[in-house]
Amino acid sequence: MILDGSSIPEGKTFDADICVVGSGAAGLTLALDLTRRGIKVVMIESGGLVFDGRSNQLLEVEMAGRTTETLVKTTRERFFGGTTNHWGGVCRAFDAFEFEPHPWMPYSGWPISRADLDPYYASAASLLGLPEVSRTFDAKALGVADRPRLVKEGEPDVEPIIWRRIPDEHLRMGQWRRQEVETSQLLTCVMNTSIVEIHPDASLKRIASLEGRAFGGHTLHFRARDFVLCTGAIENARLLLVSDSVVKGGLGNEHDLVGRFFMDHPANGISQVLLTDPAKGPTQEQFLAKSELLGWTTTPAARAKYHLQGFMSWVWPRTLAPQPQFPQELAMSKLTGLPTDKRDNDQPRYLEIVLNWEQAPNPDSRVMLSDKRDIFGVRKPLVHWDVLPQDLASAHKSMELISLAVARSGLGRVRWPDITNPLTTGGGHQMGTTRMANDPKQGVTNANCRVHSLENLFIGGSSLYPTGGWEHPTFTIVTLALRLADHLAARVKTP
Amino acid sequence: VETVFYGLCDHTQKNNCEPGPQKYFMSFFRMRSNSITRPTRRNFLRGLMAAVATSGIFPVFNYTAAHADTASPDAASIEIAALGKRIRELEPKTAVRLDKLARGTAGLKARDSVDWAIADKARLKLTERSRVAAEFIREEVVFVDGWLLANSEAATALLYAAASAPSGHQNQTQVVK
Repeated sequence: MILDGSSIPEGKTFDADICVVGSGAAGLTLALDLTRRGIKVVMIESGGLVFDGRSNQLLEVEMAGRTTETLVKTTRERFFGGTTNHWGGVCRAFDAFEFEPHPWMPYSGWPISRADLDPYYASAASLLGLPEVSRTFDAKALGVADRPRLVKEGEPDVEPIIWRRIPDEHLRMGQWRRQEVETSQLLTCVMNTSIVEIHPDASLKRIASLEGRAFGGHTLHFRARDFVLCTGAIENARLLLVSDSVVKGGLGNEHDLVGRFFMDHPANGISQVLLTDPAKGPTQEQFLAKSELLGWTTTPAARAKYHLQGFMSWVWPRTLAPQPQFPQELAMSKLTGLPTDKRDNDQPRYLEIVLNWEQAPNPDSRVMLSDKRDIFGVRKPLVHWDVLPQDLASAHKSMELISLAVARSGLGRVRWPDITNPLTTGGGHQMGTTRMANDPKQGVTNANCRVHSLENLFIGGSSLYPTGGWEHPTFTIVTLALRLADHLAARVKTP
Repeated sequence: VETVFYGLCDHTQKNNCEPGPQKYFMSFFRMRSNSITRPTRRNFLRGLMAAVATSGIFPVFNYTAAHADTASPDAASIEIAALGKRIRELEPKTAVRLDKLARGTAGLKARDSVDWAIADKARLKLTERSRVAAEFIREEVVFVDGWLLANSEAATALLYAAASAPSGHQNQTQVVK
């Protein structure tokens, strides 16, 4: 059932077993999986069924550190389906290596392993219409044996990788799951209503209710046995921090960790592989298919050897705008024999590739509260994001290793962009602000996604990630939501 | 002179790095010859050419040989020299090592001066495909400004940098800190 909060009478209280805030990849997956088990759920969405300027305005953030406001603002959506409304649908499970602590990377290591998520990855793949993606790149088994390769098999430091792409019919969750929500007897979705504060009970160990404000200004209340915040890495932290009328500093923030370790996958636009022989190819189009993307990453062995963070690069559809000539291109042509004639428009002489890289968890990159307020009087988030020298050094070495692997293949040379450029921005993958850790002094949430200091407040989404890996986050968001559904369902059955 | 010239072409700015070979050449030539007016220079060169051609000093003289040995690098050579300077700036210790490699391959001693013709000749040997491929296998590489170069390619760039210097020589040890 879908209700419009703005037409519900002032002061109404909704009661359910579970209250879920947010209807994006995490919230919608979680809510529908719970109702499938006979559990009564109320889900709150601050936007409407389609894009609306009013709710979009609530995404405004103040920025400090690197200026990535445009990406922070434009990579999130605040209406039914959340950010899946512009999701690219690129999926890959986090490799086992990403869950392990790495001595060269402070604060790394998840309290769960890849094995803990394996059954849920399989369920998530099934839900999204994907074939399972295996760790080992076996071109034949993966059905991509006919694709060209820029990196030879057996390279010690670089390996080819594959991402699956969600079928179109499963891309926009707010569209393809809407009917399930509308017809559900157990799920009530209250639209156009924003949570403005989380209220703990007298013990301060449990959440008693959520206070919502609908467009129009009237107040709604939500009570449940368990509560789950699924509003994204910035808003999850913000909601905990603004809920400070009883607990100073905000909820779950006893160790001043809420909002810290804000991470993204920094991105630097387009790189190019200049081909040794453009007439022979390969062409950009040969790498692309509707169902998957091909790219490269550094191997776990290389990461351990060189103390690297994650790094990924993949072939992407060619940009429409002509790319400017690279610096030193004439020099490289004469030195290496690469054709660099700019007039050669008939046969592209390069492939365009894009890159994302992992940031080391950094407690000083954080979501805080601004003094400015939104239309409901709630303080806006103030995001301080930065890139550490360690991040840049790791990305540089990773680029070198991939360049070497491509050069060895004889197909061409890679030319990377200047990642020290202050215009380096986030990739729209906000993560880490309510990170999981077994120790409450190391993370806001435990291995079951519960806020350490609160018995019935849970978190969904990428704010749980202790490290960001190089993989796109959404597939794992869905996976963690399915795992959390299992956990919450077991709690509901417990008297 | 070269420093000023490279400053004219800011490669980080879109649409400001494609002057074309002719413009590169003329800029370079003008700046090297800015103390001589154009007609005077032309007359001087004509006279010199005539004197040399008729003197019998160089009985096998021909234009091609003279051209290869003159200070008239093409645009790519100038860019290679700039790349060499970047390597020296960013990787000074590596530059010292690679300079030895380049000079050894070119049959030059440490103090020998280098001109464009010498650099061009060494390039053919240093960037020979099998040599470069072997260096990639052995991971003998330099990563600079987003490009990966085999050591021999980087060494070549250092020779071009030396050729671009007024004295035709760069003392590598001076830049090592």
